[in-house]
Amino acid sequence: MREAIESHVGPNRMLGTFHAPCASNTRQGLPVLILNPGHVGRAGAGDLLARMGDELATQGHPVFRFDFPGLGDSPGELPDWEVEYFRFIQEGGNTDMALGLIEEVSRRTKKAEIVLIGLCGGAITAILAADRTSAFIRQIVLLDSDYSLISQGPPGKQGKGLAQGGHWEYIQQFAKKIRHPRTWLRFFTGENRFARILRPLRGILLPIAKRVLGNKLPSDANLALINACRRVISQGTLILSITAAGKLRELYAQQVEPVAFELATKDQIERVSISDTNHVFTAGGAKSLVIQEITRWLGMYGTENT
Amino acid sequence: MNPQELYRETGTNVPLSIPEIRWSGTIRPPGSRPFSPPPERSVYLAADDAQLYTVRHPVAGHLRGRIMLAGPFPSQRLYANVAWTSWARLLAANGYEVLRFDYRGTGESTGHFEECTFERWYRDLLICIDSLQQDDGIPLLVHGLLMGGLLASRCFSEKRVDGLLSWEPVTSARKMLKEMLRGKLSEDMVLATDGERKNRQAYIDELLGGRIVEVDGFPWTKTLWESSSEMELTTPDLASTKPWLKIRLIRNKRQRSVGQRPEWKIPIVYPPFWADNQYMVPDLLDLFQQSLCGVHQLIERTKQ
Repeated sequence: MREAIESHVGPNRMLGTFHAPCASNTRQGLPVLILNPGHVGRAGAGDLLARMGDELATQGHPVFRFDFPGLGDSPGELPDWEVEYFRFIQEGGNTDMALGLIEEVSRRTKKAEIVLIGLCGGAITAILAADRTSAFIRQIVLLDSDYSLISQGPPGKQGKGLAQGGHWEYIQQFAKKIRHPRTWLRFFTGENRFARILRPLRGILLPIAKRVLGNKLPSDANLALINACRRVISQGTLILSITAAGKLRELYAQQVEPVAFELATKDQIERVSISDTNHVFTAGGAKSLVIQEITRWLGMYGTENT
Repeated sequence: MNPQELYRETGTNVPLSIPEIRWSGTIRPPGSRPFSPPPERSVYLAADDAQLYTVRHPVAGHLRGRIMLAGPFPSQRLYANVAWTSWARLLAANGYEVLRFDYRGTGESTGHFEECTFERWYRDLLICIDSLQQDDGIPLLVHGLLMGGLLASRCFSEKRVDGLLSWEPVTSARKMLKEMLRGKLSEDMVLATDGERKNRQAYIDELLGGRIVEVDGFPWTKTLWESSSEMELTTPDLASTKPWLKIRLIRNKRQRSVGQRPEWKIPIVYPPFWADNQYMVPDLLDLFQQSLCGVHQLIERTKQ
């Protein structure tokens, strides 16, 4: 059973969906707030988050999903380019909204403890909000979180490729990009346009790149986010981190997590790596696997008495 | 670019007059002040065993008409959303009450995608039309995008509405599914899966054999595949008594044509706004401006 709801945070009106907990399930699951996955609406790619809400409600959790301003059904302004919006998220642009929504969920459910779930940009906001909220965030589920900080600017005019200023500017941008470690990570993990045609080559180069990169904190790491992770961990918050195996963000997380989660106790973080899928888990049957893993994990930790 | 300049570019003698537009929503000319229509309301409609998620955009002041929006195939909904909601807000700001919705089993509507067929989605559209329609003589148009254009055309041919507007309607549901399977093959290439790679026919055989094939995260079934064979676009007759307008969304600016015939071609930025893109707010000012003009004209013709 779903219900259309809305919430006001400051001048912003956010439309959302409430998944009422299944009446036949006597389990008192903690309220769950699922955040927008980056730059798209609250249902997520392949409706992953909408289905997740239904399943968690069946397990006894009241589940809330809202669209941040400008996304999905919520009115609001957006930048022209995806990279601009991601930079905005990485710098904590949605954190105040998330804090407002945490309060809203807490008020509606009369519970102070809330579980946060976020995919990609949503995971970033979940960490930053958990770091700042006075409510007790007991658990966070991070789906293919990105710990880097985008350095590139908007790509230029729509439909005109990379640059506005002709071939010379294009070459300059290309030369800049090719020197950036993230470009090569994208290539190795099959996430740029050349990766598809050079698949055998990247298969050979990937293990070498992993050894070279080692566990050093990359120069473009999002330090504010990493520090927030450290504080959240020190508060005792439990984390389930689900990643797409062998993909860009998983490789990046492997470099960053030794620092970000350095203070974590043995049972505080559980990592699940799902193979043969993409960043948004819409391939290889990952959608149901992700939901299963979260349900299992919240089955252990997501009730009021745990 | 002002409307006169837009028209000069077409090289055609366009008989339409462009009214003053109240811009609203995310997509609007730089520097323009957004007009705020009354806030839209999201409501669930009961539909058999599902709840259909709808968003109603009300109008302040004079009501010119009602417009039912029929969106694209579920996997295109994700990216088309910014343009689609912005278009709904623009219509509402200019005097049209709008209802948009998610097909059952998709987006915010409940139901199981595995049980969906094109016929059921068509019935969802009819349920929403019934909810929007009122017995007050205000004309009702249906506007479809891509797959929505296909469903809207059927709606129009069955005389359920007073007029039709479609943006790039797909000509056949089967062709559309086949095209999407091609996208799946492309994704298979990117994902480093071991073993033999499948071709499109192999996936079709799997569907026909009763297996579920996951495309863009949606579980396609034999039922969905088979139902697609019955959905073909029927372009209305030019002599149709009820007004209609089909707009093809093209890439080449030189082929732009906006005129008296009800089949226009308007260039948009490519990759199109319903595909995964680098941009968040697509530049669709020309399309919005001309379409609004078309809507005004359709509404006027329903009164003749």
